[in-house]
Amino acid sequence: MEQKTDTVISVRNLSKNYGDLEVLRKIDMDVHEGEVICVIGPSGSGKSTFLRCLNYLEKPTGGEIEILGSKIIGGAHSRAQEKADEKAAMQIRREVGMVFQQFNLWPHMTVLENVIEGPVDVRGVPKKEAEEKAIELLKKVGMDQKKDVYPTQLSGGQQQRVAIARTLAMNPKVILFDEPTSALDPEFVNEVLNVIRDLAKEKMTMIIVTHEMGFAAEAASRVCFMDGGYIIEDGTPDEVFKHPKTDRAKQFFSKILNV
Amino acid sequence: MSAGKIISISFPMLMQGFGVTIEISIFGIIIAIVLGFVIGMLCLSQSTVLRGIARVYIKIFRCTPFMVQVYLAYFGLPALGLKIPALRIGILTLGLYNAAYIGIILESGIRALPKGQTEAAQAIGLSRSKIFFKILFPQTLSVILPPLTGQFLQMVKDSSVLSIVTVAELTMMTQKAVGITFEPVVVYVLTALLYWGLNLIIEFVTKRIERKHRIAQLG
Repeated sequence: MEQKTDTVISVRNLSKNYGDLEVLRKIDMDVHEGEVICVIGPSGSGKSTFLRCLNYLEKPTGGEIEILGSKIIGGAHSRAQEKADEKAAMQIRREVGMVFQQFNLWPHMTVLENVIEGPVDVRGVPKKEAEEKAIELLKKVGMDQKKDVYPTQLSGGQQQRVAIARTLAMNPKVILFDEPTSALDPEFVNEVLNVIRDLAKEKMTMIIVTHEMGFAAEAASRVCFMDGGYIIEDGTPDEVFKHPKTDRAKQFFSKILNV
Repeated sequence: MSAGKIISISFPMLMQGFGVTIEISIFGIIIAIVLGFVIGMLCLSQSTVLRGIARVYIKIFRCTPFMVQVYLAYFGLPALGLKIPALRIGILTLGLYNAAYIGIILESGIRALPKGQTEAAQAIGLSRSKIFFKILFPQTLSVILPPLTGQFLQMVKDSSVLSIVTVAELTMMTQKAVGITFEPVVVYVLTALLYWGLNLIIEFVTKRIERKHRIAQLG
């Protein structure tokens, strides 16, 4: 594989086991700046686990992850290595945002407080400045009118848009989306996808685990198909959706597209 | 003896004891909160050693009767050469005993929060202490306040046990007043009212905090 200079994420031989259960096997992936990668595949294929290894919410059991110069070594057995991994993870988390399936907004904080928490307490941005930026971001996701409201008063789609604003407030170089629309009522799916589409237009580097095939086909610059802990297809949306190389992918698409 | 006479004799004595009971309760609760917080944090620690220490502490203090602990402290500490007034021994024992319970309440409260709350905070890069104090603790406060209140009320009531080791708190003064007036029913009714009143005040205060907290969350 050619070595590009704008590689932001480099994953080598990544594996993750829970006891005997192998969830990820020998994953290799390079992510370049500006790429929008949709990770698709059946439930239990390891998509979310893969994403969660990238910012160390799951500890990999083998392989290496290098993100913007910080390196996590899988399967750390020594306490020192684990400490080093945790340190690298803290670096990575400052640059890599994550949006969750269940939004995970903090219910005891208003929308605005949710968004400024990271900039103020992680980056040390003055509160006033953080608030101005937050309001700008809330405008961008169409939630500025609700800045003083508590999350429980918002619909799922609104909560997810706030969660995206909260992630953007950290000025991330990469955003990881873990099934961002799976917990939403169908009517709210598009308002969230539209926000992600806008980010794609701005060349935000994103990895999106999703079951929205139409969205993946249209918005992704690259699609990865995972099954049984392996990435079995990796290419442009056209290559993966129209000309899948593996029977497993063909079978999967025939099932979901012919319903 | 007329009711007026009984009251005029016993009331000043009871009030004297009541003052001591309030003192025991306040300092006992403060010790229990501070130490209980530490125990709870240890229970939540990633270190097996620290968690082990907290478990042993809880096992010791939660699984022996309070009265036995009071006797042990009262007779044991002087035997070790520590000369501490009975009142202080009593306050300390009350605090240590209840810290075990408060530690568990805090631990359960934090563990009951959805994991996603912590993960969202981790993903954004918050440090472990920031996650605890800004994300988890404020959320769990409204959950653990009712059981904490129960514990505080229990402490006020348990302070009466200290009468067995010469602490001149409300229950001991009640016994004295009964000894003088020979009217146990009237005097004990007065005493019960005093305990009840003190606990109503505690309940009132914690309810206020709880409500303020809940309203803030609902916006």
